[in-house]
Amino acid sequence: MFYTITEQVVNGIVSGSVYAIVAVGMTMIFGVLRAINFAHGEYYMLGTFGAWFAIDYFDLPYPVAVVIGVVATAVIAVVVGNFVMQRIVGAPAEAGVLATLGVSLILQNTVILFFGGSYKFFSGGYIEPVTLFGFTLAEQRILIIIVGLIVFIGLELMVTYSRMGKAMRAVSQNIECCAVVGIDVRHVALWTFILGAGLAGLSGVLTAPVNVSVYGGMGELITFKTLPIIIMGGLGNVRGTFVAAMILGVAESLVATYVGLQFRDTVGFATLMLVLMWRPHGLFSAQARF
Amino acid sequence: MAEPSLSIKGLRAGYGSLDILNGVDLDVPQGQFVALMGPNGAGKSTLLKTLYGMTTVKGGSINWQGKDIAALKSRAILAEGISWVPQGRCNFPVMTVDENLQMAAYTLRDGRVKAERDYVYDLFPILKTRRNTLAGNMSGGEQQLLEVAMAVLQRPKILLVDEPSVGLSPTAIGIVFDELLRINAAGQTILLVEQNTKKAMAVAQRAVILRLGKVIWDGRPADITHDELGELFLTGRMRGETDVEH
Repeated sequence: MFYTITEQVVNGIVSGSVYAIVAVGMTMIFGVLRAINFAHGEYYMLGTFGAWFAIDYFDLPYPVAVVIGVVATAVIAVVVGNFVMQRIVGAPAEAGVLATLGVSLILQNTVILFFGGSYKFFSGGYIEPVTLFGFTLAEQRILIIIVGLIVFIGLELMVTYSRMGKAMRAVSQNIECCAVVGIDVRHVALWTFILGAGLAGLSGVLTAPVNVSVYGGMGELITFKTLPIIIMGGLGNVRGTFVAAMILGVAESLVATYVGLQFRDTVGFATLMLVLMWRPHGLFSAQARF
Repeated sequence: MAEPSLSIKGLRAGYGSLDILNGVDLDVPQGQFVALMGPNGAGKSTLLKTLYGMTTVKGGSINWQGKDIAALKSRAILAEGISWVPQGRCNFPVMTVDENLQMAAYTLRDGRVKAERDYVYDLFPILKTRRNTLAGNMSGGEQQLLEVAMAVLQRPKILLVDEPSVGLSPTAIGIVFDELLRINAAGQTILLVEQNTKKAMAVAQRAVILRLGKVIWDGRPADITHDELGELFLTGRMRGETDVEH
């Protein structure tokens, strides 16, 4: 009994890390652009497709496929960022909703147009089981936890010490003041978006060996799981997002084991409702930003 | 009097199709401390915003050191040596004083950031003592000083300050104005918009009164009484004058 619970918690932390890497980008994009990126899951899908393409068509090793997946996502993010996201700066909220939903449909259907709508098999990654502290875990899952930690430490360092990172915080705290001191908000918004989309792509490539199946619509579920996470974490709050992602990952894993697998995908919004009843502003203050 | 470094002629500007400034003429020589006053809606803040490239210019010219800057964007204007301290809180509340100053130096090259920050700390020692405090946790007066410091950091040739007294205690207002006087004494040209006319008249070398988007009075503060000022605000003319301009 104890063993099962601990194992499910560890599995939950693995999914939590995946969610965290995706959600942190979405929350930073919200902080800077004041828009929910409804296409966020599509970048997760694009990363996975990029890696799958590299492995399936060119027989490249997994680490190279990871790089290709992330770079491909970032390149598409540069295009979308220039043509769509930068124009959301200062636009009314509904513009952001419509634009990102539109982008979501375009990306998803373009991929389906090129590669077909069928499920594909992702063959890369490190799926050999290893035993650590008495638990048996796929290597890939350990990799996911490690990368998740590296991403968060890296982001913390970036927003604390780098010029662009500080500018991202500045834009999220007072966009009007940025014009006064000469910070180019559109430029900062573009880089935040590329970073966020790239991280979503990375998350997709990391999870692919565990999830195995690759298909055009796989991003939708991720978008809708990320949404409650960033709200619970306090919109725009990076550390809050990390904690909220872990809570959701663990809760999903426990519900899947002890309540029923079919309830797993409802956990996010159920947890969100419970949290908002108790703390209407989310678990963490949106003031904390990042 | 020195050559005017800022020369505004027949300036018409506003927001969208709405005109706020209806032909402003104003020359500001280097080193002068000018207080812009006038009733609500006179266009004082709009004039500062227009100088900083934040409104739509419809006509007239803004000559700055021999160059027409009326069509320039804010970032280019900042690079020309004009800094703006807007009305209300304008800092990054969840960043430290030090980080706020780094952001104020965003457009400068890396080598200069530290030097200019140290220059500001020398100028405002109180900020140095609070360098690791989050801006949002400081008092209103300290935040206003920080905002002035953020603008001064760029070593502007003219400093546009919009209502620094808003929301401050009388003591804090005193401190902010003393600091403005001090940097003006060191050669800083200042164009100040202020509702607190007593305070503004006490510090400025020159008072300019705006009403309905035009300059209606321009002179030394000593040459106008507060009653006359009130009369000008309300009616647009001095007691005894009969011409109706508007």
